[in-house]
Amino acid sequence: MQMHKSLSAAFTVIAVSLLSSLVALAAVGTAQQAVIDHYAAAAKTTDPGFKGFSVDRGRAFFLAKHDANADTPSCSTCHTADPRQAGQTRVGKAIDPMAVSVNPQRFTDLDKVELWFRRNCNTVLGRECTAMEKGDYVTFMANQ
Amino acid sequence: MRERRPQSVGRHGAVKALCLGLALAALVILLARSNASADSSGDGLILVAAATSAQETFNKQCGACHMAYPPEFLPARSWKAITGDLRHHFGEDASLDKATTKAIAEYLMANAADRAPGAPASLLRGIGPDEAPLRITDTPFWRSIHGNIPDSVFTRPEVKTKSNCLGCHIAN
Repeated sequence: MQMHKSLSAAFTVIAVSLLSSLVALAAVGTAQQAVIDHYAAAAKTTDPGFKGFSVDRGRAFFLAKHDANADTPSCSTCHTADPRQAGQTRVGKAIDPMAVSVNPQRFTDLDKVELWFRRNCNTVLGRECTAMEKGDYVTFMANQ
Repeated sequence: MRERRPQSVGRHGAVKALCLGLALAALVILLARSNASADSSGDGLILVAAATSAQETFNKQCGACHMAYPPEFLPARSWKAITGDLRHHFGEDASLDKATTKAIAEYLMANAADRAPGAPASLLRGIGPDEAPLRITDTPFWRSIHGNIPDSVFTRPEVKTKSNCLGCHIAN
């Protein structure tokens, strides 16, 4: 009886963890997933050993400070360190949150995503971003 | 007696600045109203519709980062210079595709201080024919109105910078 109880508890734990991982996967919307897939295909062409994007790398990239522009050293300079919060441009205009959980329209339009990556990467890093950096970034934001 | 003179000059300057400020506020409201009526009328000429579309593009693209500044505050040559190098736009890359850039440039130049019908001549006062100021805040017109405002006002958190008109000039 005791054995049966602990077994069912173990099954419950397994079922719950499976379910929550499914929910976590499902949280990335189809439009965001299409954008991520676009960058994954691009990343594979430059790196045959590409093994997928990483939320942690995306977070680190978002918070990293660069030397190219003293006024805008980091993505988080304007977007704040918390992507769920609204940001602010250098001239005081509000920027809607980047986190998909609070702003589901983010990363649903590849043209728009590319436009802003091109300009903001040039501004903050002094160069265009790689497909790996973009994919990590979108993956991070899609899971926030 | 002589010591009091600067004060009275200062007062006179303040009154003058207030009058200019009120005139500017009226101008901004008039411009905003004319823009609003252009937006809401769906039955205008094709030319009007085309102009509205370029204005919407300007509002959307340029207004993403800062207030969509009224084109009447700079001469056409300034807008040409600004839209001609959006890759280096006050320390940021604000570049757009060629067609969008062209539409915005044409809209801004057509409605510039030296081209917009009815734009007050005072907007161009003190700007030489060869000068193309890149900032509205660099024009003698802007300075004559805001010259006596201390820097501490512009660095307030809700204002941040002189470029943030709406930090002080509340909308609606």
